[in-house]
Amino acid sequence: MSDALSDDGSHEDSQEDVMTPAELIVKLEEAWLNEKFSPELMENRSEVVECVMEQLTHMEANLQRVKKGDAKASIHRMEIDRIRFVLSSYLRSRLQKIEKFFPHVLEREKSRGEGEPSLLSPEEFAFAKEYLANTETYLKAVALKRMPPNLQTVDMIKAVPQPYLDSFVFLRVKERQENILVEPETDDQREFVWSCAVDLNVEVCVLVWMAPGDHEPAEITRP
Amino acid sequence: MNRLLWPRSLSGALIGLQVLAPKPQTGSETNTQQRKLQVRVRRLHSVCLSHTQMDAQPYFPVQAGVGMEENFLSLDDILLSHERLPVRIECTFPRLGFLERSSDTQDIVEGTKMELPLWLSKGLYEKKRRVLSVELPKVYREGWRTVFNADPNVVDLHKRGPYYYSLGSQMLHFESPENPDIAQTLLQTFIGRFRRTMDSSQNAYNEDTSALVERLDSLEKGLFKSGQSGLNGFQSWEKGQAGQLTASSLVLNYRKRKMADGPH
Amino acid sequence: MFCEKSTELIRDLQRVHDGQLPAFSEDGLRQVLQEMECLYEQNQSDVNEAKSEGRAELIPSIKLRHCCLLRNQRCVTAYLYDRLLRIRALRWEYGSVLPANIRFHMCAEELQWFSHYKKSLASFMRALGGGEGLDITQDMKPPKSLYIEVRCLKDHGEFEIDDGTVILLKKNSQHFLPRWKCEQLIRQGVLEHVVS
Repeated sequence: MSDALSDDGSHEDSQEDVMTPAELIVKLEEAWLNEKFSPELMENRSEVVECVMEQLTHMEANLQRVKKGDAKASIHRMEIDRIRFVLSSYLRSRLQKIEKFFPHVLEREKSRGEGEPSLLSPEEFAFAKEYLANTETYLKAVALKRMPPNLQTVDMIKAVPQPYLDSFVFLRVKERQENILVEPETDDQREFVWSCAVDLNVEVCVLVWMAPGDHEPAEITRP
Repeated sequence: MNRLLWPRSLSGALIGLQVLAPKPQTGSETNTQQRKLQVRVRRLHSVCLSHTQMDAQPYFPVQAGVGMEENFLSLDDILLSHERLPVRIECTFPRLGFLERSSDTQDIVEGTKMELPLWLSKGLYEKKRRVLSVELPKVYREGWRTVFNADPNVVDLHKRGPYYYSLGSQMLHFESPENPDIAQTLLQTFIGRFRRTMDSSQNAYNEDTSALVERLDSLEKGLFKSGQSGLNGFQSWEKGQAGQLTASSLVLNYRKRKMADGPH
Repeated sequence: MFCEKSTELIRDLQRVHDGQLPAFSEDGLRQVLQEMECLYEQNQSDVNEAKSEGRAELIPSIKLRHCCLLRNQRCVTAYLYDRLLRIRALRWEYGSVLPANIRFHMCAEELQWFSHYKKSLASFMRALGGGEGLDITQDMKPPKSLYIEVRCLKDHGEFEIDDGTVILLKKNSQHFLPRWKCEQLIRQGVLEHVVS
């Protein structure tokens, strides 16, 4: 990220770790990718969202001051657009999951413990509640209230499927891990266990393939 | 910044990974042979699930349930459960004789053989009481199982299905001593056919794929479509078209329909 | 067999693949609700008879009709819910104003749901970043360049860009415009992104 525009970047004088704008964007990208590729809603990162938005505002303001026609201006403009894209995509990804799993998301939020971090940002929580109310009201008005007495309710928690946590996901190992075992199921049947370490920076797929009969556990390591 | 599009090898691997990698068993549950197989049939169905994340369309229908489960709101599951099964009625159903077309009786009497949709069969079936007994459709019986076990690729699963895997998984709800064998055949058939499906979905670019898909069951068709979507996405990215802004396909389709419908 | 109509509702909807919204089947829904009423009444009557006259043999039929009632409820709910998902997609693809021919396909309650949904979405977007606001229905694709070449597909009148310049969007005219300004018009099919 260009330093010229980040001079007055992090103006937080809180006691917490002060992040450079570059670090902030890395955090945003990480949150974005995790959210995109996880089957269920991840913990909310609204502090990152807020900081990024502040950052964008700063950058826009700085851009106004740059002379028109200056070549730097278009590069900075692009940068703003790209960051805004990642941020929007991140928020859209979350919203999609909130809508997709709305009764479960609300249930999870309701039943979380005192000290636990919240799943939804305040805005998301409001949106989710409205979505539930809107949908239930609609179903009742258009059909359910016209059904026989004992059939006028549908339990949304049962009707709307939960996130499928047995989905397979791709992982990127950030640090070498010892003692992670990927074991095949012992079975007479021929089976293959594939585990996959993906280096997202170069979009290369490394497959670690264990054939049956190899009872050596494999380590997932970075290439 | 285009991490959104998977290279070919990955989208293929995604499918492979989902089908073939079983989750390590946790806990100390007693795994009877049947339960293990039921669990594996369940995983079979997880294949189509994550590809929706790669989809750019904003319409996300409720997916079919995994394995033996149905999703209440899934259109696919509703249509699947509409499939008819041959049953033998084991107790009398008074005043419902009209449901059984071949006779004129007022009641459906015990011993009647008729066809009932899966949803009704499941709803009425009770393990401990004899209400009805469900016959296995031919394609899940021993004769056909032998064919599948010999060479799963020869069978036209669209003709024999089109819900071969899903319906087969549903059959496991009705206690039958053949269940372990049925589950086994379903799994092995899928594994046997999977490679060809994946291969063709990754190699057919910009061509008419109808010949490739016509013998696939609906689950395999979904897989094929998913593979094609990954392939097309990658090709588009390679050509530098990923950044091209396009009219929403919804918009385009509405417009086409509007023109077809004529002025109102 | 019971529940044929409700399954037909589902089949007709599922046939419309690409997320489009077909016309609302008021008639179909009414038929299913009528069938449910009949089934329920027959069951009420049989239940009373079973209780008062001890006719336990009626129970299997009562259970069967109950399965049918549940099936109908399921089909109706799934039909309506899937339509909501399609309507939701419209907000993201078309924007907050729907063309008349699509509104025509929606029943009154669906129009209301849409209205509430877009308001809720708007509140959400306004509140982002501590009140700063961000329109996340824009920036749907990764940006590659600042300016893009576009061709106008139909007359759209005057169009103002940032520095105050006004462009006339006449059918078939071509322009070199800021990408982000064109995004919505491209999605709506007014402009076409020309990639060389």
